[in-house]
Amino acid sequence: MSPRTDKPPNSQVLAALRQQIHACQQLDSLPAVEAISTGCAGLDGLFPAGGIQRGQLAEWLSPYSGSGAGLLSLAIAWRAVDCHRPAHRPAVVVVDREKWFYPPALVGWEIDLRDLIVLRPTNKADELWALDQSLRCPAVAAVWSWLPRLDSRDFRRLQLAAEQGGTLGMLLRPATVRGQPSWSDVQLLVEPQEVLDGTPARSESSDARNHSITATASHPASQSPAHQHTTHRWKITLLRCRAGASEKSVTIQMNTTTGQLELCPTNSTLTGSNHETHSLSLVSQLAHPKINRRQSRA
Amino acid sequence: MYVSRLARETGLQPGMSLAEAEALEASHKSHNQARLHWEEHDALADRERLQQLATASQQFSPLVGLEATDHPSCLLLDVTNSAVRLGGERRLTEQVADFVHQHDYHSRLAIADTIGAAWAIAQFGSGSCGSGDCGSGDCGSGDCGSGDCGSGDCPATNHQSLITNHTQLAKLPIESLRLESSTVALLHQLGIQCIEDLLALPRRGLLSRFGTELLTRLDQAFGEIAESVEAFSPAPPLEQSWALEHPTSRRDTIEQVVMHLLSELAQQLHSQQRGVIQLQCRLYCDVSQRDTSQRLEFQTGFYQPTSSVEDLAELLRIQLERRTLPGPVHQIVLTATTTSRRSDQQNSLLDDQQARSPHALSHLINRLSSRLGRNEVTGVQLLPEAQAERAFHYIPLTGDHCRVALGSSTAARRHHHCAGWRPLGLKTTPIPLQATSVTPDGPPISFRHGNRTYQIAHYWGPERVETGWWRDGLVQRDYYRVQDQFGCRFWMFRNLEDGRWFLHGEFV
Repeated sequence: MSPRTDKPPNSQVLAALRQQIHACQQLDSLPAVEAISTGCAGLDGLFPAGGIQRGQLAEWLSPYSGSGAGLLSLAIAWRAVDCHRPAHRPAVVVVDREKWFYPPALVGWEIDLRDLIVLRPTNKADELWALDQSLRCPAVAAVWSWLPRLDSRDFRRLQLAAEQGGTLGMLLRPATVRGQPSWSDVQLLVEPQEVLDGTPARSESSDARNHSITATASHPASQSPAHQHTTHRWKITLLRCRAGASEKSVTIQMNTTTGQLELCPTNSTLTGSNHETHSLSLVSQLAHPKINRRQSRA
Repeated sequence: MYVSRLARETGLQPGMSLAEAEALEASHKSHNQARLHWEEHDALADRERLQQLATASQQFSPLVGLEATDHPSCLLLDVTNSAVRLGGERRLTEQVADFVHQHDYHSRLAIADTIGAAWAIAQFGSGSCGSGDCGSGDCGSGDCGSGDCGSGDCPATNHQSLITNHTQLAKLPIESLRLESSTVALLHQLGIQCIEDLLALPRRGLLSRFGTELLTRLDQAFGEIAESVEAFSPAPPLEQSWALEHPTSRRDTIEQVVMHLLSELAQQLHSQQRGVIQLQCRLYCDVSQRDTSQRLEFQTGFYQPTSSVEDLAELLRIQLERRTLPGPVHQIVLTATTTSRRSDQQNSLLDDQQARSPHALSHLINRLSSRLGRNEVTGVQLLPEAQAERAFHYIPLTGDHCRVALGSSTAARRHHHCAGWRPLGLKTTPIPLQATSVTPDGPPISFRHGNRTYQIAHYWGPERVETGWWRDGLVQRDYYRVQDQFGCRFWMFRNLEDGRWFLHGEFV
């Protein structure tokens, strides 16, 4: 009598093979989370990992409307598309409940608008749900949204979603939330700086003679006053960063025509202090499961 | 590679490789000529557009068909008798040409005795043949071949040939006989260039050397062998229905019935290798007070065609959860209102992010659309418009299998050359402001918005926009980008009609 040869079903064989491949990949892929460069070495230097990490939430605090913090954070969010691993191009999701997002502002940055998905939820619950779903999706490189109000529980929900999906979450928020409990991994204050490449408002040359016309039948003159290449300049202060020193600041500028960031040559400052200035954010730091794990191991 | 008429003017030729075309484009760039736009060929979309055109063409003939090849590019209309009803063959061709033009296609048309001859003339005919070439009596049973020459964006004048005779047909190249390319190449090697050369050869020799295909095509063209138009009829919408013996409001029962209907629908879709793009669900409810029936109806769109019961059920569940039933349900009807051929992808052994990514995005968009609404989950298309609020529009990502290409056309990109001049946040309606300027038409030096006064430190502008006279009135604005003393930037304009100032955007 020959011995009975029971072959395992194909699905089991495939599952076993997958497990083995995963085990090999995990060994090879340390460190697990790679940093996304902001495109400016000076700004990268603020972060312990040399850039914003995938699966993190970054808060960009804007002290005034019109500060340009949204433009800066969106430009950096787009860099996550190029750094994404899957063969299929991932998407950048913009959640725009206020319905003010204006896509033509991004033209000229060498970005493909086909990668952009704009969600326009009509209420707060749908907005949070859309953010949660988008952050949880591995095919999304980055999620960008203006969130003036966010309670701690919802914040934690978004943070877990970003961690699960490995998606970068860029939350644009008013500077008034500074000091409130936060589940973000990085919190940055963006203060606009005055640049002098425009025409001084009270100068004698302020007249309307140098019109450039953008009409349906004609194109503007390339270097008329309206169409000069302009720069945005900001002082960026790292208010808090998980497992890193805070209160470091740097001044950077962006060429708004190309979206390129560079360290500001004149006002570059990098000062450091190793203690948290806001006790409330420490609460969420301590409550974070990763930190708890690390402390319990120690 | 196929090229548009405009691209042909720059030296590009059909059949050129993409690398050659790009090299040619690079040389044009140095001469500051317009950039070319490439689109990947989508045979499925081509076929669907042609089918839509075939359906619409039934106004000219009850018998409309597609060319019997794997990649049809030609519509066939049997215009026997209908030409007389529509005012003669010349009038008919003009009407068909106008009709195709209205659909933004460039066409080549021919009417002939046989399908083969109409196809040959439409594809290879050199110009319009006068009716004097052949009496109208010869063309009693004509076929109209409408060769659709690609979906170029500029519909041009149509090439039309009304009538042909055997002499004209014989002058055409052998490619016009709808032969395999290998047969054509062999004939060329033998020095046979046109049908006339072929007719001079003995048929027996042709049969032994080339088989039956060549002689069949030849005979079809000259009417020796009959060939009929295979009628195209659009598939009826896929529908499943269930009538409940006892009306119920129980959600679990309704979900169970929906699941059953979905699996039936999925089987139908599988057999046709199609997937749902838009699914309609209708619930017929009893309203006891009025003793009438009320219908609860909703649509669910999908990013990519799917026939997966789980995907369909998940989205229907999201929709059902958000709706209140007006009464007990007595009938449920599911209709796949829009379907498309499925583009199945082979599963990967590695069940990691890379393998799941395209499906993950598709699932996300489906879920988002289902809850937020189709119009709230969108892509962006730029438009060549000077007026800021009309410079783009949102395109829903689900529910339409012939989605307009997102992103932007070359023309629109060229129009939006003003990178960095537009704010990230635009007010839906410009907000009136109190602004001060030193000179009457000069730039602002301060403005008041909300409860704050902003002192302007620097400005860029003015950029004048004059447009829209053909719409609801001329728009005349002088735009300024201004920077206040804190470095914050705003986008404001002076309305040239009344001199009032408005805030239109913020560089958020």
